[in-house]
Amino acid sequence: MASVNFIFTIHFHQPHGQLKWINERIYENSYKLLLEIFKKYADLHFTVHISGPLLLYMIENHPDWLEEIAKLGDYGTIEFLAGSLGEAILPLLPYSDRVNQVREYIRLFEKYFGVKPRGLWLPERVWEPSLPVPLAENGIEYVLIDDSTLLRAGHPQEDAYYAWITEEGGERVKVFFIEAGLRYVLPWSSSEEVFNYMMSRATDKGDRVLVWGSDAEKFGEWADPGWARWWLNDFLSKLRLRRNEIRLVHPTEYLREHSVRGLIYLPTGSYDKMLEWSNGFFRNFQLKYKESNNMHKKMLYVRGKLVKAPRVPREAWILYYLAQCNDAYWHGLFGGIYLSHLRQAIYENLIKAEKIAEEEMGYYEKHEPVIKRVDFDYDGKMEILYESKKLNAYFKPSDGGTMFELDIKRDGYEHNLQDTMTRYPEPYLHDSGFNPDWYRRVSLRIHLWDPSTTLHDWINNTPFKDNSDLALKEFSASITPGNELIMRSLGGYYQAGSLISRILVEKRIMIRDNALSTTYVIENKGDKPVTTKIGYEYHLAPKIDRTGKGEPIGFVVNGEFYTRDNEWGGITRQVVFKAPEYPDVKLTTRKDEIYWIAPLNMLARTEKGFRPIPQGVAVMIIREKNLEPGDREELTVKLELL
Amino acid sequence: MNIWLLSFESTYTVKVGGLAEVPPRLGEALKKHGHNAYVLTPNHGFTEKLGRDHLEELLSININNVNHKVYLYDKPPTPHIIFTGGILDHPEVYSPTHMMDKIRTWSILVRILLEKINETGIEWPDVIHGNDWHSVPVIIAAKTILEKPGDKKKFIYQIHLLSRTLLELDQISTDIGLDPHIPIRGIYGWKTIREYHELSNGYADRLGALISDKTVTVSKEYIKELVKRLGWDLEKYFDYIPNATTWKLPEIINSVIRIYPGILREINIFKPNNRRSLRTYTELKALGNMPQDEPVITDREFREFLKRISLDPLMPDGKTKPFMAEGPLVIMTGRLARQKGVHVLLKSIEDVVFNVPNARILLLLLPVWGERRLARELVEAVSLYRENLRVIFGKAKSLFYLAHISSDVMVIPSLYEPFGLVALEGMLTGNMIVASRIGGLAETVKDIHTYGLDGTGLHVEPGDPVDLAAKLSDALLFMETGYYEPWSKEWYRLVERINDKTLRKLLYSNPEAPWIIRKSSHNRALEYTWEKSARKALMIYAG
Repeated sequence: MASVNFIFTIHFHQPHGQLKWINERIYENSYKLLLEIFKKYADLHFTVHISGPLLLYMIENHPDWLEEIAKLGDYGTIEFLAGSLGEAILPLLPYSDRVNQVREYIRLFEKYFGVKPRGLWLPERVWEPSLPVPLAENGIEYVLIDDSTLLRAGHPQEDAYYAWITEEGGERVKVFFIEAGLRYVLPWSSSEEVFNYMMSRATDKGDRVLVWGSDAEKFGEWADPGWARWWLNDFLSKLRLRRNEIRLVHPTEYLREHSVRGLIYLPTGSYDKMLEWSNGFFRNFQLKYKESNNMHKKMLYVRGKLVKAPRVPREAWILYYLAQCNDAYWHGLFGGIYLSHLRQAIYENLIKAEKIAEEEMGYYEKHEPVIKRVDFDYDGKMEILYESKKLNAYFKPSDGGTMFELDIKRDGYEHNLQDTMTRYPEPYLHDSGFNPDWYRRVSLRIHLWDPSTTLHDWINNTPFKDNSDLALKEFSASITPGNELIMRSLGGYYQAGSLISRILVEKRIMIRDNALSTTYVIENKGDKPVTTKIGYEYHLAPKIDRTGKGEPIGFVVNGEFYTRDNEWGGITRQVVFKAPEYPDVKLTTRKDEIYWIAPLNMLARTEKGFRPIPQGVAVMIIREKNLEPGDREELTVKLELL
Repeated sequence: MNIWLLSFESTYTVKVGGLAEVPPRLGEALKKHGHNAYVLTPNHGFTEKLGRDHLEELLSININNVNHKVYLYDKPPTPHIIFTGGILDHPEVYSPTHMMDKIRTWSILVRILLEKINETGIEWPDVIHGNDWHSVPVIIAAKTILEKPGDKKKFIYQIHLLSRTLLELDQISTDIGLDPHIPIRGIYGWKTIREYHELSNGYADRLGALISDKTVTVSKEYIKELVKRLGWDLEKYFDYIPNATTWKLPEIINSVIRIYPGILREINIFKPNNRRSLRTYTELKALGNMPQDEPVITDREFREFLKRISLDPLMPDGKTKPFMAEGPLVIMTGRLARQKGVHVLLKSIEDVVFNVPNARILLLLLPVWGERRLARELVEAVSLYRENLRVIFGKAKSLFYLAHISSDVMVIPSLYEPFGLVALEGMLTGNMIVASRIGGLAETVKDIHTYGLDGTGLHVEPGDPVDLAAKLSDALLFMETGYYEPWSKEWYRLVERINDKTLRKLLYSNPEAPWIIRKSSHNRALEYTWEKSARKALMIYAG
């Protein structure tokens, strides 16, 4: 009689920094349901992975659920897979981080479950051939990856129905392949269709294995919980009766019975959709999204400090590992890097870890502030990093002389105020009327707008409204003995593609305590007048309260509060940004100016159509000017944490 | 206290499996505690063989023109109440064709016995203790008579091996003369038979547990299986009463001396010279000299299968050639079934033989219908590893005890095992045990890694041939050091071949360790007595 083995792997994960109410909703809709199902079918064999961030959340918030799950492991119903503490994409990390991510996960898991898992769930199944080394170093025996990776190596599909061994530098790990075809039918087709699909791969020898591995949230969260409960009950009760044909096994059980097929070598890979989103290689996300690269390089930068510090408490490393949580570093169809609360949590952890390292190494003992000129983002150009005990401000002269990171380091309020997100072209937005941003949405950028430009032109990227090249121009950078940063660039004002006049822009940046004061000087160096709206651009990321307490995020202008989804245009000299559980942030000019304020929203595709997801609050201070040759326009803008 | 033990078989009437031992032994021990215990069992043709001398007729009942008699059989230490007549007299105990009929009739007769109990001289039971799923309809029948609101009768359901049997509502109601709307008491209070049947989805073991005050099994570990299979709502109603062995070492030794009069005048299995001589004898002589009528194979088809095999060293009719040379001896006993992990052991043999080239592995296995493929694999393996492996299919009385008292290690690679009585037999006879960490074996066998010299063996991951090979090899080498002069060159060589650090450390700190472990094993087996089990049962009854 033909039969086939089946490994049913359920991956429980919510990212570090997830909003508490979302975690709770998913717990109610999905995790409780799955626990109930596991108990009801406790005689069957399930394979489960609980990501490090979720494990920590459940320890804190739902220890009873965890206890029951652990019991199912003890009772032999569940085989657990290890993971990385931060559910990090291992190949993105320095070698020792790869080892420690897994080591710390196992340590945490063993503390609560009392056993060490033998297999590993690879975050987003991002495989690179170097992985056997850190996995073997942690005693990981097997890993689940996708059949697309196998097919890229030129193997036939049949090879995906067996376990194999791969090696790197003499370190070996066994691999199982998650079958894409099965993922597309389970749980979306009827039980009978799923069984037919499985049996079409069964053999008389019965030594093949079909591996299903996907998100727990498919059951109860992505679709109606009532339907999920019905489907699982139908599927599993029938599976019980067909146990002689379809044997639900644990991976170690399969390996004991059938061992591996042989040796295999695999290229880089992930699941089919991920390969599509990343143009075939996960690391491409760091090239597509500057903000992803920013987080990644900040992580490497903080790591440098942690390594140099003579003694770093483990707590700092844990913060650091959790900041490697993958979700905020990439984007497919939903959320990901566009979820500002996830990015926020990454920076929060990195800033906290950085502070501990700085403290331990006496970073400011000789000088404060520390001002560095380094290629922070690995693009071959130098950035200026201003660091003090109170804040970090990072500037990128080569990108229009902008500020791309502003870390508040006050105890309990660690936050990157500049953690705003550019809206990139996304394939699913083609027909939405959405114009992607043509520059990175950060602060201190100068625009010389066409006089007809409106707030909507600016925030929605109407083409050809900025008549100068200054927004993207490379700026020179120098530091005065008084620690003032001066950036200058000579650009042009154009009309219909013709240069009208040369314009010199100077930005003098002074940082005192929690305030960053920037004096802009715009000077017409040509011989023709220029009529323009000078735009001084800021984008800010008010801190989100991830536990859902307090008032909504918004801003106060001329004594009135507006939530962050409001636009505002008018005359004022001050905007105060309000966020729950966080000090106010104030943007001021010395006298009344025109202010445009708008939500910086990305569009997300949902079942109910496109929906805005906030990426920050945008402010443009406008001066309508006719700059005669030699005219000089000066404006000082102060950004301050109260 | 009057205790009725319901059992589908009994070692004093008809015995098929391990269940037959438990209720009568427990009953005997309960009697020693001053209680009245009866084993209630179907006849299965027993009384016809026995004659009527020892039987006292309690009742004579006519059902559908079939005359049934209920007898009291008081020759065994625990008196038996035997239900006879009609289908109950059929000798096939577990024949699928007759099973439900037997259970139905047995249930009806128990109910009538209870109704007419005053006519029999038997006292009302205080405890009804059912064993395995066959007793579930009987328990229901008894409940309808015995249970009154506020009464203190106890109903205990014991699972020796989980079954997947489903019972129809009719089979537990109308078929046994009960209205499905009769209320009975269970863990969800007073509900009708129909309601409890619905709550159980017809699953016999779950139904038994739902309607009993306590559901017991035979080991703490096996409770986990009960929870998984029967439902988490029952978890707090589960407990266990361990089994015990009836083996007694002096009787075993006397039996061996009786069978092999010239072997040794006196046998002390804890004396190296004695034990080594026994081992040599078993491996080189006894194995090749089984009596004409051994091994006994009851299954006719299996006998035919063996007849056709002549693949050296296996000989026709299940005989075997002895080993060619002596070496460390490991034995395995039990049924020839995948459940017992025979295939896992087969997979581990290559490694074991590589690590311990002179290992001698002797399997004494009872053939089971449906495991022909496994038998074939085993036959092939014996041929491939002819220097190291021997298998006896069927009962070989002459060898069974001898093998136990001459071996060094007993291996029990079971995939699941509610209790694992063989471990007690292996330990009682002074063997180090290498057993799966599962079911009762997780408790009876004390891992040396945790218990040191108080340990009795090593635990292995169930189903893992690599782990099994490693532990078995180390166990054989460890025990073999006991036959060598401590600190001699040969002794060192053996110790250094052991991979397990704990075992090496034990030997370096005490070269007598193998003999201490043999003693610890023996003592551990003595801890499992029916007297203790009865005490535990009484606590549960009082519960």
